[in-house]
Amino acid sequence: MSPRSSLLGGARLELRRASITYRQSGFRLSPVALSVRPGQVVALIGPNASGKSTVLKLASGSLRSESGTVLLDSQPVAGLSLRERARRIAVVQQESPLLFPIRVLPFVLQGRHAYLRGLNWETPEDVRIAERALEATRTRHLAERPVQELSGGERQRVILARALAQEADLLLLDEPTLHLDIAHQVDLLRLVRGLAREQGYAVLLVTHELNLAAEFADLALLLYQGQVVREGTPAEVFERELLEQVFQTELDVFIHPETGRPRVVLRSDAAEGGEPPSG
Amino acid sequence: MTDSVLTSARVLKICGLLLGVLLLLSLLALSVGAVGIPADRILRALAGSATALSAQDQLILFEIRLPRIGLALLVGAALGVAGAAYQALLRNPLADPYVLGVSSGAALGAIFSLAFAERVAVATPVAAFLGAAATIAAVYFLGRQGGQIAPYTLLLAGIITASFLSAVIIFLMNFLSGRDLRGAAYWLMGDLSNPSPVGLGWLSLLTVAVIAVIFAVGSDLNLLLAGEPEAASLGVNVRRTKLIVYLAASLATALAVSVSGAIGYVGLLVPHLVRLLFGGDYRLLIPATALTGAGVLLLADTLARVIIAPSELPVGAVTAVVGAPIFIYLLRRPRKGGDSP
Repeated sequence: MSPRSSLLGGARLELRRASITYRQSGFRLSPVALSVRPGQVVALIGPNASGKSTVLKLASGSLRSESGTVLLDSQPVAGLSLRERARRIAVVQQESPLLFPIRVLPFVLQGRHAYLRGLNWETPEDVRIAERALEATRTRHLAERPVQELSGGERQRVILARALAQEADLLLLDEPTLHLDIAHQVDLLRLVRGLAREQGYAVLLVTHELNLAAEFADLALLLYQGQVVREGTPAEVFERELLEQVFQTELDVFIHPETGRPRVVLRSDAAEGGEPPSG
Repeated sequence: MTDSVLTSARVLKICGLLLGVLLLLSLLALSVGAVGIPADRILRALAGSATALSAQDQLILFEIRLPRIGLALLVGAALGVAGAAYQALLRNPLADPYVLGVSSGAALGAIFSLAFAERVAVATPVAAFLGAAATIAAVYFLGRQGGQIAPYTLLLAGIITASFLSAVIIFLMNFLSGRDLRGAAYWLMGDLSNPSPVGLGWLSLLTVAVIAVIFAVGSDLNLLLAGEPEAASLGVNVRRTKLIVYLAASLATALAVSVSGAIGYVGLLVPHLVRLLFGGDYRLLIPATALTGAGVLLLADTLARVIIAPSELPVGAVTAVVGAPIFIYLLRRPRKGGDSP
């Protein structure tokens, strides 16, 4: 089942006062400190343009921090080559549209690119790893189907399978549940949390789904205008006044009686009254 | 392993098959023409028989048909591969080798040489190549953003450059005499009837080299097609791959256009045809497109030689007449799985 040979082989991600300023828009992400341990799921939440995806890009090494450091098991991510990076950090991001038809198995095999040698042919071992990744995401039966013909939920699981085929230590997810219905959202995040628990992935997740973050994340960071304004367990971060201020919407926060985790709902009159959000 | 996983054995098998077809086509092309030479006599002559062919047949075969066949094969291979490479680089299935203006630059160079140095035979391909090279450099610098090639900017830069160069070509054509004007028209259409004044040996060496370069980054091209951010996170050096592919594909186009003019449709259609037959993996697509492009252009040029024999058509007219309907068929053909491309 497991795409990796040893359990809990993940690595610890650490951002130490990492920051960046976008020259064109002038957006500035103030120094961020965060750490994700193997087996842990950490969620980045916050309104649009609060800097969530920027933190993710700093963690993946696709943006370079202007200050501080980004470390993977005490090793600077900036010092890794592209191939080394792809073997240690897997990113699930907003997919670019596919131009030409491709079947699921070759698509998942793209995750093995950083391991290919010579004239770049996949070995039977690469195929086995891809097939295990398909099993781990319950998509084995789709292996010969064109990716373009899959439903949204199947497609996200296949994209996750490609990331698992990278046999990385760190899993970065940028809004993986976008465009999915609630059943598929829950299904995908259950899968992700299982991967963290059973296979030791360190998971950093960007999401707009506050309740999913509250249910599935061990820790959450709330960002607002390029700053981390609160971090901690979901119960610590999901405070009504704070969320109302950050999202500029009238909200209520309850504690779910069974899971003990917070739930965020619109206050009943928010649809009619209330000021529209600015920015 | 299942069928959907590409192996080197499968690539070798398919390329071997295509090579066989190519050899048969070459034999056919050697045999037919204004003077027919039976294939069995050609084979006996190739096997070493001194009496199989008359002196005149030998002259036709080895001095006229063979070099022309060689030229068609090289140009067809270069155009097919350049088209496939541009389609991945620009993320656009409509891209062909001429979309970035390389052929217009070459045409401008060629027409310059026809207008001002008409008596020097080698001047035309050399001037065409210089024009193409200058265009490649100009479009590259116009098509960059943030220090690397930006596909949409590159595409726009190429289209604008091509249209500007075409305007200059129209202007220059006013200075051509009647005979050169026909030469220019054939050149713009694409034509293989003039033997290349540049040695076929050099041309084949360069063409094979650029195709090999593109083949070597085939696995990176597969991922580039999946999207640049995806490719980067899967371990592809996106910036370097785009530069290599742009330079190699443009060079392949420049070589082809310099010796044959702008033959249309081969570079656009052959990659799609190969995708349809064998799948879209660039590690197979590049060699298979080279062989298929070579075969398709050889077939078209053979038709151009025999349709109105003893007179000849420019091969570009044949590829356009056959290519345009095929293109429309590919565009409108019913697909399973809804409207996804």
